[in-house]
Amino acid sequence: MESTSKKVTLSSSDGRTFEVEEAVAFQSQTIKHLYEAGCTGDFIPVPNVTGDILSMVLRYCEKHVDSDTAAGKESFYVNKLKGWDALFVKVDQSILFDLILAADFLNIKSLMDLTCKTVASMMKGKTTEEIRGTFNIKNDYTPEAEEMVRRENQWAFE
Amino acid sequence: MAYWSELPPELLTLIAERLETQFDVLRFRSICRSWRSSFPPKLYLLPKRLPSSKKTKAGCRFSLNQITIATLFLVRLPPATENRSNQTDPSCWLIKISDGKPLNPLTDSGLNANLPKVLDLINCQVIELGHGYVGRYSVHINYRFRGLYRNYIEKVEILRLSPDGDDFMVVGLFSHGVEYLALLKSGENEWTVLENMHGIQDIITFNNKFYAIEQNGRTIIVDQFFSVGFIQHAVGSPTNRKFLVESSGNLLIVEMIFLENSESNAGFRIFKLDEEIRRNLIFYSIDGNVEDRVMYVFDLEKGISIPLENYPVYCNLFWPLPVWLNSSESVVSSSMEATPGTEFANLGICEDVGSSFSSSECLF
Repeated sequence: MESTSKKVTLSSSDGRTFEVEEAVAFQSQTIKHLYEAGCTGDFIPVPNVTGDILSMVLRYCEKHVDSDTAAGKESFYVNKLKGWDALFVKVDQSILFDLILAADFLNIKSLMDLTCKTVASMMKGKTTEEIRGTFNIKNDYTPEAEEMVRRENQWAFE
Repeated sequence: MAYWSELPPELLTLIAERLETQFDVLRFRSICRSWRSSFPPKLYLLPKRLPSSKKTKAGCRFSLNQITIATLFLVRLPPATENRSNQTDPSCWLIKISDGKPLNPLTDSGLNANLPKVLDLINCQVIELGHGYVGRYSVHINYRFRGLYRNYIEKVEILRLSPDGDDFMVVGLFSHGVEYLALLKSGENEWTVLENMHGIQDIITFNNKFYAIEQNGRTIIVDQFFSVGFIQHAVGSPTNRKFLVESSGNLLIVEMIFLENSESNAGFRIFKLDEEIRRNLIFYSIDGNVEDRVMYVFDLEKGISIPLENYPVYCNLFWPLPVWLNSSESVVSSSMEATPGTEFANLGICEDVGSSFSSSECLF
């Protein structure tokens, strides 16, 4: 990285600060807009994201900073990045949950896509109870609705 | 603790949009109330109206009268959380459902098995492997003194051009001695027929384009603007039957090899499309010498073929039916004994008796 490139400082909800390259931070449309709107004090606040999650998100942005350049679009790098992404989202579902909220708040499209795809793929080939177990979800259907759900999940062979 | 049921509806929608199949969406909507209300059921839309018959240059009048959907599922019981039973049946069952009827996925014939009246899938692991469209066509040939009329069933492929399904393209096979590719775009009242094709053996949609394979091994590509391209590099031998198969995001040509002087010794060769360097269409080929009715698994990563027996889980995909399914109970449901889990791998499966299923990706 060139030493001349501009840096911005971000501050997480728990008060931790992160100094990163502009190009890294600006993958977040939210931060870019805040910056362009003149929010250029000592640091840009990221009130909804904890330091742990923000550091993960910034690690993701650093990896993806070149993905829009011509070199980054070559298949070798695309495949390498895909591999990195796959490892990046191999995390506990609660962290994945926070990453989705962070990607939404920070408006980082590719991270949103990656995390949502991961969640969707975690449901594949699972029973309803297994999905509820994976995501800590209570079955909150009324008996009538439950019956309807059960019927939808049936094959009737006449 | 993450509260997935309290995720804002717009984010739940973003997740549900990435569910690939109708069954995945059905499952998603079965989990809890907030998930259910965040996304509508997924429908595989069919063209509402099909155009009337179309005359080809050779004087045949073709029509596509009806399109039905056939969906391929892999079903099995989940691994046991506690070992309550000595009975272990890790097998999965592959089934095709069309018009609510279960079919043998290889032959498309009805099942005479002792099936339960109702199969409760809530406690089964179900993977929708893919779905295909079947067309009921007819062709009318005018000879000088009399007409000849014939009905036939052939594949139809549908390409959806918009998420709501209003905008789509249909490709059909007008086949009577000579095969024509017939294209239809939503909103149009007439088929566009591509006449200069030779012995189309299979069609498929892949990466928002139609692909067709000719008997001589040439691949035809048609995009949504009806612009036609070719992969001139012919694949395989003109005497062999060829199928187009999508597996794990790759387009494959599966060639069924018949050897002269031998009735039983057929084989398969698999070619993978390399989209970046089209002229090098052949990435690799896997030769599988297939004995009489033995099923093989093609490992695309390693480029080898392995007898299906090496995968106990997949051994009895068709017959006999798993014990838990072949039940005299009228309803098979949650009280079923579950079985130990087994690792699932990416598999492509082919059979040697002339039938291929278009999506052979098993991903439990």
